[in-house]
Amino acid sequence: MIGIERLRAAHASRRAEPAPLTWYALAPTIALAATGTVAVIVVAMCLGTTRISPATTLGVLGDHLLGVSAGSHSASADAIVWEIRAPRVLLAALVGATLAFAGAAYQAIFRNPLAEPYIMGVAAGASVGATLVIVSPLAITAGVLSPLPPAAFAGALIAVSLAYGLARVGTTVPSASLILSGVAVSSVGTSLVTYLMLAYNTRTLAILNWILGSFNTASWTKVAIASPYALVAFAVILPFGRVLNVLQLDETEARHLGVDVDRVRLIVLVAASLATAAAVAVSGLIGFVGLIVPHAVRLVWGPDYRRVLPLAAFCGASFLVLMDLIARSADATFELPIGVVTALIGAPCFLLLLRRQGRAIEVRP
Amino acid sequence: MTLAVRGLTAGYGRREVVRQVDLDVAAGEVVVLAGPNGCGKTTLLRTITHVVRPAAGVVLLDGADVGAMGTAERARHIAVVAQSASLPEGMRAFDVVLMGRTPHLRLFGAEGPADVAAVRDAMGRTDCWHLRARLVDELSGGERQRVVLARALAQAPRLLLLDEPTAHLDLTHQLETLSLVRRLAQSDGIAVLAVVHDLALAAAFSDRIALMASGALIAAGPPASVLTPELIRRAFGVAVRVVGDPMTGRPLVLPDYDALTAAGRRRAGATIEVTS
Repeated sequence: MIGIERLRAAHASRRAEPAPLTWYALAPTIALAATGTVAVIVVAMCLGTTRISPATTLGVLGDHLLGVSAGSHSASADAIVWEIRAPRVLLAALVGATLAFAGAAYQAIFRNPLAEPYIMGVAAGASVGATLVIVSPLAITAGVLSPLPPAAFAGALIAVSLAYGLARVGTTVPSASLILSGVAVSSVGTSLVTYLMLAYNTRTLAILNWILGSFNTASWTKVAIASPYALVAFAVILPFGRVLNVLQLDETEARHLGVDVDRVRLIVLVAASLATAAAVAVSGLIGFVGLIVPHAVRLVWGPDYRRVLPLAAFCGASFLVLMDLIARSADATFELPIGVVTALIGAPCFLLLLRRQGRAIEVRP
Repeated sequence: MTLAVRGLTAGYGRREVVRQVDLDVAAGEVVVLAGPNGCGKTTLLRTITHVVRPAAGVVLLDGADVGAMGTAERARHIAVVAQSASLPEGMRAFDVVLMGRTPHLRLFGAEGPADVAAVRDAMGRTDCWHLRARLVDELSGGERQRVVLARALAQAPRLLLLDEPTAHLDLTHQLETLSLVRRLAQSDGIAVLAVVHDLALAAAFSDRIALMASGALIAAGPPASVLTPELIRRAFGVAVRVVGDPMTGRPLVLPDYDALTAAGRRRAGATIEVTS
């Protein structure tokens, strides 16, 4: 929270002489956010039950990434940093970036501040997929062969397609029907999961564990599974920043300004949903990040989506890495569910930010 | 001839809201669309831009079929000022007007100096360049309207459609907005079609008035020929007197309150009602 006054001052100084937002005007802020995120990632790799010095951590990373032998470090330090912490921290960063970025994208296309990555039924669909695997007689193999991520991914995609198909009215897809059909599909999914939890009560804990989300089964494989979707979503959605700004006017006005609203919305929706589905498949359900991080970014840096989208990704990554650090180190005996930590710590921070900015977030009809 | 509407019919589902409308608006001309609430004025505007697909008929701009144009191409020719334009909060007036350049940019293109020049020009002419750095949430109603009008001008349109541009504005800003529109039509040769409810304002600022009633155009012509007691009774179902402005001779429409109350007395038998 320290730099907020200065950020606000910088924000105000943009008022001096307005000019179109260019990539070189954006570059310093983005570079700063990227540096901050990398710093948070490295610090999180140093901390844990065994503390490892930044020099050793960087040495291990240098070893594996660059192939340079950066001095001596023990085999155990190497194993802790490279085998355990690095995939976990990177997966948290990836999932945090994806959820915050997708949340910002959803809020843009729905023009709704309550939109979040799970609004179209991604979460409910993924839970149904994962729960079916957990209660099925299939042996749950860990690691690469686990059927959990693909089942969750498939469930998420089925739910989103269902919600989108149901919302279609003639040739257009009104955003209010999209949100409502997303809610309807979600509640069907949630009740299915509840039924399965009760019907297979020996597996209830396993289901609950998955639903609450965790990074303790993180692996390089999971990072490899989720990152292509995230990268594709970033690459597809980022260039739409300026067009998404125009979409903040009402739908008809955006059409009158020459924007093909339905097409833009479909492209962004598909890209964001695929990335969210992949993130959910490897981490379970982590609430709050996708809803609140984009708002926090908007409060600090203003509403321009060319700025909000990339900054949401970096802030989401840093936020979730920090929350996971707390989840795994707050209590030595057992790990807190990450979703509990994000809400417990994130909500007060967000409210503090909201109050210090002295602005209300407007809910449009 | 800029805008030519021929046999335009449109509606929502099975309900026809606009029936067989023929209408022309020439370059530099201001035509006011008048008529009672729900008679299809807004739908007619939306059908002209093809946001509502016509069931029959064509809309031609200098002979080119608007229905055959892509969304962006259409927006390069036609600008619309909606009834209550939404301005996303936290944006500067400059950014909002810059959005008017959207149809002239490539999908992933960025705005350049030419776009800034267009914005400066549009905001200069609507007298709001000094507001450029202000956030839109801090603007007054009249200022907002000028910014929205500047956004429409930044589109560099040949046809400007205005849906009740003076709603929610006080008298000063009503006059200011309409005289600005009038000047822009003349100086830039833009064809203007505007929905205006106030018939006195319509008479003062339009070249012609097109009167609509239940989806059809019942009259179109110079204000004096359209604002007659018979036509207004047909459109609005109320008795009016039309008198000449003592200074200019322009028609002024005065509701016949006596007839209204007498009719009211006969119907209800008791209280005097004056509905506006």
